[in-house]
Amino acid sequence: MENDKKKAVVVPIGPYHPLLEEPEFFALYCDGEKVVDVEWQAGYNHRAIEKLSEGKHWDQVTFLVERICGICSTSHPFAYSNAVENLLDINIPERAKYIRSIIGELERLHSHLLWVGLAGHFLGYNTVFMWAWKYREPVLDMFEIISGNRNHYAMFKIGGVRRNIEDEDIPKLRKVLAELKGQLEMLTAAVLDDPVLAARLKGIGVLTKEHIKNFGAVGPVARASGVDIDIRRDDPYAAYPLVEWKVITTENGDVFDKAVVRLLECFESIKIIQQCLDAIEGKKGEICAEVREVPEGEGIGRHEAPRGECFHYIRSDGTNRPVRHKIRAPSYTNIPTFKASCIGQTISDVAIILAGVDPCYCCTERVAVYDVEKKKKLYDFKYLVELSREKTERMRKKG
Amino acid sequence: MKKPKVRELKEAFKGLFSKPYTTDFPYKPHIPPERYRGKPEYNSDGCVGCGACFQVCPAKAIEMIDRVEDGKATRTLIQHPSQCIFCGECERNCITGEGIKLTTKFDIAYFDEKDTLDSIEHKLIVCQHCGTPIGTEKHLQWVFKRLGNLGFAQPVLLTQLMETLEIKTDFEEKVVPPIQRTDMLKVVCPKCRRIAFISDEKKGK
Repeated sequence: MENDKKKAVVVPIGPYHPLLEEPEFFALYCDGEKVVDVEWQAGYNHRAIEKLSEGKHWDQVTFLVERICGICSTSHPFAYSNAVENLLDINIPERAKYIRSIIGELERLHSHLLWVGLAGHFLGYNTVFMWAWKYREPVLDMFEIISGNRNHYAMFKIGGVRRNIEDEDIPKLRKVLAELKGQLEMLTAAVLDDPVLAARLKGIGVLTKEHIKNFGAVGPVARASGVDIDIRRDDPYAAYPLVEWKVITTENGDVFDKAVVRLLECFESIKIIQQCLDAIEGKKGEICAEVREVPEGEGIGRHEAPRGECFHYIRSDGTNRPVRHKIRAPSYTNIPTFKASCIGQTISDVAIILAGVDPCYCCTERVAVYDVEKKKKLYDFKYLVELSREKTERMRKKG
Repeated sequence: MKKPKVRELKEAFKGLFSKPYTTDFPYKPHIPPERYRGKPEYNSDGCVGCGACFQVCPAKAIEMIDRVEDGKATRTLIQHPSQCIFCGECERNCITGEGIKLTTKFDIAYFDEKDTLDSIEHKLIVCQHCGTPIGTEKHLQWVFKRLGNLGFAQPVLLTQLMETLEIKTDFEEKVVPPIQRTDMLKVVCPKCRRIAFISDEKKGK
């Protein structure tokens, strides 16, 4: 890595590093212990999902987008189904809505518990790691019973869900949730009271409201800084408007508050799931609306994934495949906040700040083309915009 | 600080004296839940060899090979568990509903990929004129069963039925080029039947 900025020392982290679970590269420009600038590079994991999806049927794309992320694996199918249903302009059956919300919230539970565990691990506090992951395990087992897989649940289908939640599984799910609630109360109190965690996390990696607005950060990262946004409430979908819950916000915007938001959100998730279970228990109903064909047009779909707003855009020309599928994962807007939160901190704190936004790098991968000889980036923003305008003009002339 | 420590100690002791969450898997067999998504397997009674599973598989884990060798035509469907994503689309789209089903088999690690492959072979009916596959024998029988009387309107199905009933006629069954109108009632693909009906090769030239 060239030190072109004339900054003291460059500490490279990645692309393969024991701390990071995915390949990505950080260059920390340090002055002594202090980080003066940070640069981020991605693209080691690029799989061209958007292009692949143009070669698959509408139904097959749900399985493809599910595999964008290994942890929040239902958030992408959720947003994708919302996008296609937006284009189709159909109402899905009520039971399907409840089942969708249950799956979405169970995923939030396991994803947040995973983050709490990892955060403890990054700090060297492995008790938190062990306990959080121990409590996460029954949730994954529940997924296995309901959907057949611990991850990649394959529950979503355009117009509804693929598998029903049977009445015999509901008591098991209730039992797991009741146990988890007790354990979470203990874990939350333990994490929030702990003097070591408070000393390591309070006042670290602070993001103010202005930072959030400038970077466009979403999800728990934004809510920890007091920006009250949540797609589940702001743009209601699935069963979220039918149940009672509240959006958790805190004011300080440091890593400690991000942990608080995530832990308290787990309780809201349990509340949502319990209400959804009440609504579907003992009742029968359709779980999928019939979708014959997808007409011409475009649609957008959003879902509040555990990491923030996940956005999908779909364009159809009336055939059985999407013409354009645009995906924006929440980490794409959350990761640039490192520029604000890492600068001025010490190297030892940067590890937890980087982990604090719960980044998912493989969701975020973008590709850039470089001319090595001329050291020049090809296809820059200006060029791509021009290209896009030319194509629009061509399409207009065609009629 | 007194109370919090008691709370955590309680949890620690609970963890110390409770059984570990992990199972004794290699020593005791693991029983997956009823609805577990395991290795899909063909069922020779239910499968008619239509190839729908091959068409819908998002991961292209199912291979379909149509082979025509010295008068014998076969269709082989091969399921590769190493590429399978266990989505269950093959099961959902199976025309008979019984042909391919997800099992609860999870132990599909292998030294040789051939050990895990699951395949099924069907007799294939090909066009007697150009050799294009029309469908498997079982598939055509399945279609005939579903169509009832309407099935008699389809020459290929009719010929197939005659074969199943072992009805023998003096009618020359082989298509001898050039293709003629009378060949329409023989085993010919839609394309060749169209040629026989419209252009009648013999007259046209």
